[in-house]
Amino acid sequence: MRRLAIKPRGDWRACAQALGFVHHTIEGEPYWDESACYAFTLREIEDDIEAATGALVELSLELVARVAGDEQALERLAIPRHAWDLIAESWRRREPSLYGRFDLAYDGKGAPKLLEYNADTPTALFEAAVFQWRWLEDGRARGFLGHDADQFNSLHEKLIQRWREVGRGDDRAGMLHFTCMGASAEDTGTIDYLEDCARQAGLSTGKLDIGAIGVKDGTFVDLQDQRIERLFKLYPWEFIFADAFGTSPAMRRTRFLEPPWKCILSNKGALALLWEMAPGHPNLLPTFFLDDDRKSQIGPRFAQKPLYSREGANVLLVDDGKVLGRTTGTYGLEGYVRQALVDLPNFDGNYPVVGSWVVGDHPAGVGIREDHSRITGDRSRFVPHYIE
Amino acid sequence: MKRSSAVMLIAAGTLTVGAYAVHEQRNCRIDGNGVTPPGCQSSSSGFSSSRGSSGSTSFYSSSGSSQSSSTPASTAARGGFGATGAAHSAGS
Repeated sequence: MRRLAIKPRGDWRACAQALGFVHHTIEGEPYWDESACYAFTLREIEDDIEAATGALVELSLELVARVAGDEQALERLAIPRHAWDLIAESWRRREPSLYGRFDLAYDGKGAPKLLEYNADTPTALFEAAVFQWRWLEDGRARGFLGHDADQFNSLHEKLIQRWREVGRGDDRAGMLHFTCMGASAEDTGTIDYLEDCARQAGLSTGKLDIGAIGVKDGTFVDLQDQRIERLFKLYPWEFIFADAFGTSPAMRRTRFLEPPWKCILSNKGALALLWEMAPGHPNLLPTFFLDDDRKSQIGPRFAQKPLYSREGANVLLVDDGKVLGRTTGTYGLEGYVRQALVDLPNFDGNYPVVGSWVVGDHPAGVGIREDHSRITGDRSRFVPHYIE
Repeated sequence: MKRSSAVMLIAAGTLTVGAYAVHEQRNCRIDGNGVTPPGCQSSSSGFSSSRGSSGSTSFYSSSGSSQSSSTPASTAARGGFGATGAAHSAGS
């Protein structure tokens, strides 16, 4: 794994605009950053990242199988009681998952370590699936990458295939609705892209803001009062459970993507439960709930993360009493986990995190975010990669 | 090879006029009074529903693709989702 400084394409902004990738720059700061790239060997991709991702998928599904009907575990995860049956039922039916992203600490030497699993509402998808691939194509054509340069990226094809499988596996003939908070350009862009993939898979789709969803005659309806049979929601399960409609009987009449059982895995408490289930696993870091006395096993170097948090909010990094990093935010009421601190590789002051994508149950590609901080947040830059 | 480049090229071509092109139409959503902004295509519903066909360039040819206003006859209760997320960023 190497970080290479390279010359950005002169027309990359125009290329991004042409593809509708509008948040390549955020408040004047680059989000898409092709002044550098990461180079991997095929061995690093296949034996380390892809293999670790496959192992983490298996571990995650095993954890859900154990926890979905375990009230004590759901309580530890601070999942509200009114959601328990919905979660258990969705797992009993094996309601399908579309996608997720494992965030890994990886330096090209040791085993990748799981920092967290964005199992419910992962973003940074279009740039990983499409714009990064376009960069590779241009690199090969223009000669700044070798003709045989490759990329770990089959996201787009797998997403379309997964939508086909989801469509085939559901006898509900109605439209597939998409929703998110419409005020977020990144979120609307993500569901625009996923909707496009669904349509290419032959599904009938529609889209509306999360706040526009209605309830009528005990079912969720869209703005035309059409029943919402299937809903892809880029809106976290913990928010749904806390919202007024989260306790509505209509919750049982719509099938959701991601399914309710995914809320177990998107919860940072799952990191503690995974470690409890598979202590010493090479791709896991020692993690405990903050109210668990065993957290002292971790020692003086740790990261503290809220059970529910997004975009690196409310994270604390400590090394032997010294605060290495701290972010603010609005999370943490439900509790925290403490995770052994792992050193991210430091490339001239840039700390990359490897986002390893899963579509269905299969590894599907990577997208790298880097920051000058050890905490990856919503402003961390997306840097492309290739396989040498 | 870790992926099929041939498939991707076709898909990226679709995307050029597909998913992210919708951003360019964000300001074309019908406003609260049911009025389509100048320069935008009009739509009777402000809502896109289409049957996909691989490689089609017509996915976003109608109106932008979001529902933006409810049918006047709607009696549904609305606004029960979104409050918790309003103070947070929903993605990760």
